[in-house]
Amino acid sequence: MIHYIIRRMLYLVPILLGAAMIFFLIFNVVGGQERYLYNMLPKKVRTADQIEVYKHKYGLDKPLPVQYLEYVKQMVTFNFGKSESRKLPVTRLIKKMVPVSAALTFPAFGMEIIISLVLAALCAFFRGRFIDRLLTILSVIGMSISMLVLIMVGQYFLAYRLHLFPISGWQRGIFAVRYLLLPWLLWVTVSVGYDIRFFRTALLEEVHKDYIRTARAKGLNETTIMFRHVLKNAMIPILTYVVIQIPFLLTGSIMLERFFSIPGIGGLMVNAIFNYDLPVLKAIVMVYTLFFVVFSLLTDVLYALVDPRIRLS
Amino acid sequence: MAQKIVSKYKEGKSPFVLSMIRLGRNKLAMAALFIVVFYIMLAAIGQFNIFHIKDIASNNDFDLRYMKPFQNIHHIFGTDNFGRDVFARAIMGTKISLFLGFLSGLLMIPIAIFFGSLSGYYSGWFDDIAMYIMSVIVAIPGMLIILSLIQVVGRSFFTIAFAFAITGWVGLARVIRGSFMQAKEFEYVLAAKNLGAGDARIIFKHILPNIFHFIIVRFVLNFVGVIKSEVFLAYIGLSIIGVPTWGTMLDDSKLELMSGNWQNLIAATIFMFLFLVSLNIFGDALRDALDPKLKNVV
Repeated sequence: MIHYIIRRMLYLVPILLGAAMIFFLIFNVVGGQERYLYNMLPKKVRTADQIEVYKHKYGLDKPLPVQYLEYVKQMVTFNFGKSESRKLPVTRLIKKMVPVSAALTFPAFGMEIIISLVLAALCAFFRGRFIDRLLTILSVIGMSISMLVLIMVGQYFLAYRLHLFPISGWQRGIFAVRYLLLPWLLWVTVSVGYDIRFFRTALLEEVHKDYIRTARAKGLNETTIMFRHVLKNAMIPILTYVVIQIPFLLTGSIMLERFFSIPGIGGLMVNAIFNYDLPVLKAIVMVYTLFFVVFSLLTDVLYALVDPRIRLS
Repeated sequence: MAQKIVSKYKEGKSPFVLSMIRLGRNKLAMAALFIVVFYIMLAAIGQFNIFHIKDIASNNDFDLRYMKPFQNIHHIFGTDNFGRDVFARAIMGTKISLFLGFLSGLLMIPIAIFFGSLSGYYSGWFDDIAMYIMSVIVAIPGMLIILSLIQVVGRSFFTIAFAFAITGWVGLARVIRGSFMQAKEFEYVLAAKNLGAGDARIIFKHILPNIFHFIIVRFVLNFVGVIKSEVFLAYIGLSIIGVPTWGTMLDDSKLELMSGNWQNLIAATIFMFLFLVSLNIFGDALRDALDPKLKNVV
């Protein structure tokens, strides 16, 4: 077990190298950064010398392998330097913004999973009947509406017209909740459709297995079968589905953050891409891959805990 | 002398035909397919400039700006900020969305088949490399790659399709890999191997047709993902420039809501919603019809 965990954590190294390689390929080999630097210079100083000075400052005059090593070095040592556009140390920015994004996404995700699990259990329990049909249709409809439309309509009617929620904004501390209520609601509305369908399939797959027939044959009632047997055994696909999404919650939701002016990491990410703010991007990629590796390891460990047939090796 | 042997027995139907018959019995799926075909026709109207749709979509008449929807027979969904007919613009947007989905699917599927089939079938060093590439792409949020690529390369149609393809193939490749790993242990593959079939023949002629339903379904559902992501790109400001798309229409409407102008929002939402619902329904029905294992599931 311990060996397994250590080996899996070591897997972080090649993944990180690969992630750095992707961004290195996009930004330094395909290019764009030089053009951006060129446009950033004031018109008067757009001379060849000045451009060379800038290139030297950002390390663009070195050979490509050296540039790549610099990338990796920065990512591994957490020494990202200052953000070009915000003029702040990157680590401070990330530390400040990850909690904000997490405050938006984690409660929303929790609500989403609980609601959709309950509804999917209802679907599986009353399979083929009215409630099941209704929920299936509703989830297809929910999957087909664009998030942008929902946000706009929700913000317009619920916040602007009916004054149920503040339109947008942010404050520190616990009272931020009132700014987060509407984003949470919208998040849940958007994502519940997918989840219900996934959970319903996972549950229904178990319902048709032999041991359920045995349970029914020995006279257990449907409720016990559903909660004792089906739900427990359907936990493996459900757990994977849930845990593997957790690292992506840290990005926050770009759309929700921009619409409700929540100072989270999604907005930071988009701005960093627009401004070629590579230190910030590197830091975000680093944080992600770290969380991704940790959580995919966690999924496997949870597997082994949930299902005794699975052995980690 | 060769004599033609007439079989007494009627030839059986192939599994594909059987599943198509199953699909044909599903009335909801057929209705959805009808709508999808209708959208393809709309895209053709946009592409070949039938009814001078391009001129109508780009013709700006400043006297007619912000016409309310459902009031004028010439402008069913009203007109936008510049007096352009929103209905025609939505039809032009259909074209872009369909092309984007189609092109990205077309780029994505060969990559997925290549990596998925080879790594599943041989499962040696190639499998390690393929799995490594896949896990790296999965470990970074796809949107980060898509946005960076579009920002660096430029906001052209091909870049966007390529960006979707480069992040989208991983899921399909994993499914293909898994099915290949299962399939290579099956008797029919062993039989083919014993008869002397080469690897290429086994992969392309024997195993791939058996798992092709995954690819078809993924191709259909890819449209849903691409259309939704296009809206997101338009919102960020990285969608295709110069042509009306559903995303840019929605993005425009964000500023018009306050002044009470819903034309763009209504037109784009109706067009998109109908298309996505029918694609979702059709994709699901297709999956149920093609996958023989799911036959019994309610």
